[in-house]
Amino acid sequence: MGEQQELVTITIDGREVSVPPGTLLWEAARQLDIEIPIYCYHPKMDPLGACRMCFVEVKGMPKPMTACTTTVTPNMVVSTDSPMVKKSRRGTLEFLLINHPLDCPICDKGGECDLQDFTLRHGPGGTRFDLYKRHYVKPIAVSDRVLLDRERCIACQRCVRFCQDVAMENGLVMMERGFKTEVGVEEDAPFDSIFSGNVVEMCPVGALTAKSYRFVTRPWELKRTASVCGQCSVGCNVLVDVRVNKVLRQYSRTNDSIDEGFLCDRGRWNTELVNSPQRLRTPLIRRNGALEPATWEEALQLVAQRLRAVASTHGASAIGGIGSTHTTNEEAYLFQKLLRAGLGTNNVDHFHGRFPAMERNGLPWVWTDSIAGLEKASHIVLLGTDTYNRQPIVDLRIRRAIRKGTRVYVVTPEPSRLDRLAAGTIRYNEGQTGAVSRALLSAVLSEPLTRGDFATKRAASVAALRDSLAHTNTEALAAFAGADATALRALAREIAQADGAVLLYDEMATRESTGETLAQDVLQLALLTDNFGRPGAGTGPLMEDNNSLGARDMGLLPDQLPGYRMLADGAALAQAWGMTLPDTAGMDYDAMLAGGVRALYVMGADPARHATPEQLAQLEALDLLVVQELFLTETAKRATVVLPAVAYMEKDGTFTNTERAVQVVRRAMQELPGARADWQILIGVANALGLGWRYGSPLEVLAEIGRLVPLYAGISRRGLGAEGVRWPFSAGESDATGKPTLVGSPHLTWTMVEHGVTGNGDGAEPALPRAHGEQG
Amino acid sequence: MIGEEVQVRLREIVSRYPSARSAMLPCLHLVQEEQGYITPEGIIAVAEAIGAKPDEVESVVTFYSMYTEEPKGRCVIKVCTSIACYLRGCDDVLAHLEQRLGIRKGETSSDGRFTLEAAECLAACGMAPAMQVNGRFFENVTTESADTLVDYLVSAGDTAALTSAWQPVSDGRGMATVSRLDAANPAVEAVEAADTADTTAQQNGAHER
Repeated sequence: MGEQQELVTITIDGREVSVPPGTLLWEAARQLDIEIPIYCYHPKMDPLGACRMCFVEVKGMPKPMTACTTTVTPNMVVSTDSPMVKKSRRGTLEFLLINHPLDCPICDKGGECDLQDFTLRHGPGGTRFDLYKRHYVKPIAVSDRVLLDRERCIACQRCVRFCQDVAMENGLVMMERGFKTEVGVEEDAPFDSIFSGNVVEMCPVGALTAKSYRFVTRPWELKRTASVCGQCSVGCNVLVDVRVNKVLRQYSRTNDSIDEGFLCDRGRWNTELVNSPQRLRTPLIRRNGALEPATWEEALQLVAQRLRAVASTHGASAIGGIGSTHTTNEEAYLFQKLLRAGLGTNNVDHFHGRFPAMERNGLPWVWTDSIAGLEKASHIVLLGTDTYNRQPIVDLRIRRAIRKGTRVYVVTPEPSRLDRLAAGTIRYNEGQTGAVSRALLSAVLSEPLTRGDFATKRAASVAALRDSLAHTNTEALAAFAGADATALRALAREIAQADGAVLLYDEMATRESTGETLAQDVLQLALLTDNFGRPGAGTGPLMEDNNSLGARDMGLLPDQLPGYRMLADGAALAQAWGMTLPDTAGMDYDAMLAGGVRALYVMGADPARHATPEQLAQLEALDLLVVQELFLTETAKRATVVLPAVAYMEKDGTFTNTERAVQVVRRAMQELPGARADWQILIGVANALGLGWRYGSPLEVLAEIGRLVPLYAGISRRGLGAEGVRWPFSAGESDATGKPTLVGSPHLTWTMVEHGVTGNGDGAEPALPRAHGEQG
Repeated sequence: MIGEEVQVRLREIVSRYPSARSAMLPCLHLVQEEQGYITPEGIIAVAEAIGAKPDEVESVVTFYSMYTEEPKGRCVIKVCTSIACYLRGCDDVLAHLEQRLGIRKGETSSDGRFTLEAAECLAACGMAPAMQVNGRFFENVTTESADTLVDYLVSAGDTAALTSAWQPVSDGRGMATVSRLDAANPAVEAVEAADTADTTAQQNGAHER
């Protein structure tokens, strides 16, 4: 923690409050639960003082002061309900309502509108402006997704400031001046930002509304459930707004460490996943070559019977399972348990990046820092990423960092929307992220630019590594990758001199032809330049899907058990499960698809979508293909049995986001009739196999995870609270509030990464991170 | 078309400011001068020159009334309608010009020759009513002197001639006045004589003190 700050004590409405210097009166009042109405002010943006709604009386000041721009000073005496304040508020509202149309009965904002609410609580109750109101064409589309009704606008400029200062994208601006002032877009600068939906939520009136939500419901008809978005690996906190079992939108639920109250348009409005009429509503069984509807009982019995048949004919190793990066941790855990303990095979995997498995439970692929830590970095280097489209809210956080002065380098094959704001860009040929990263590492080793304890203590290993890379120097690698070697060397120097650099790469970049050593090289780069183990410095992948990390954590891997336990360390698990576990590594994703298995159980994945023609042929030649899915995907079309599953809004569980935050997902609506949650399906299959699973709910699965999975030890739904907790959890006790305590800092140190957080370092000589089996 | 020469001048303007964005207004004046009005191309050129986004530049263009995004006549007549000019009869002048030119205020004549505008205070209240023709001041305007001016503009045929033929005549205030070309107008002469007397009296008074 930083140095202790002297607090400033002020009096508001006769009550004292102590706040840090620089706090705005509005915020100080909020801490006393005193409402000061605001329109232009937004806690995540700089104060403006435009709307004149937040007037308060400060003793000694002749005129009302705006609470959103006035900072506290010692012994200030503030009144928020004096006659002067009440008169000011009434006056401001009377002005704001001069031109506001009487649209409330048909306005989408009606019921959640600050203008309505504040008029009710602070308004004049009448008007002296009994004149004609201003009229405009309504609404006009300012983008494909957002509509603008100019009559309703009160010119608070929240939307404009969001576009210009937070998103820093082309978008809404103020046009004209004086009473003609209106919000608008410039023709040559279309408002097509992926962050555009935030202006709809921020608009304190109904001026900006969503096309998809127009005239669809009244807000009081919505059932709102606090949950987590499942559209990408960021895991933004949301309220899922459902009306009669249809999701209408996701609304932000501020979590300052992840989303700061912002959502991307995909998260906000992509409801197709759950609302689509194409959803599967009944199990399907292949009969005479065609998939036909069947009952759940038939389908589950058939799956069990066919699995047993394959096992008895070809052995357990002829069965494989491909798990999901979308399903909950509980479901991923049950899936691998079904395969390992129920069917006796380690053939479990999922579609994921290539990360070298470390010796001794190491965790080389974790993002060692955090999303919030990005703002503390002096440098952010993005390798092969597309944050704008793939992790939009991380992209937004990077933009905030840029505004604070962070130098961002976009090292990608394609131009990106961040380029305009970046300190530098380096382009290279598609598929060469690995070569470019190794070129950076090579530059650090050859100049040499290494610094810090980590490198000093491993001088011999560093020298050996330098020698091993001598024939692939920066220039050769850059030429191979089609990148500018001089720019790469300059970037390497910046990284090595940075106060704190965060090096991020895209999980899927590790699957490129040169991506095999990407994770390892970037990790070494961070370690050898001492960018590690503190806020604002670190490295890691940006994961692909909402539970990509959770799927790994839960052991959807052929060679590691849940919590990255090695297969050889599985005794405790075997004992708890009451089973003997296979102790040889299973087949990985590619091996299973290459004809390695006779029966394949696919949960929430679509291998056919990524498959080569040979792999497709293998899928079709399987004896048994079971698919749990929401839709009739390419894989499901080839299945023997299709089991209809539900989307994340329809079930309970937990997701683990790309920065290791485990968060609670809540059921926001009834399951689609005929479909079942993946955890229920897995229990059904297990029991059809005679395994006698007795889980009544995902909570019971989570409790088992808390007992048996090292990284998640001590996890509980209550402990996760509203905003989740980042692993590693403590191996034991929770604190007094029931929240699991963290092992040391949530910023992982090298020891934790090297040895897993159980920290079972055996005193051996420190070594460089190397892939499992690679000779040092 | 924003040519290389304009780009060079834009860069030159930007170089004079500590922060590139501060150069937005002079850059906009330049592209407006070059193209007669602010085109989408001009907005993009300015945005690129100062490192801003086009929407921010557009916002500024719409804010200030001295920038126009519509093509205007070659000769833009602005009649001040603020309070001093109003008291001294600008409405008559404006109405007369509307009739004379056959256009309403805010419009451009069909031959693209004249644009007539009502302007907010032109800061020439001392010699109201005032108007501007392509930025040049004409003061103490009457319907007759306005006619004289339009006659001249029509006969001169080219706005470029305005500069040479209508040199500012020093009257101690550094502004060209239309009355100088209309010496036959006794009302104007009387006002001018009074002005001169005032000035002399003030100067004498200053000496006495």
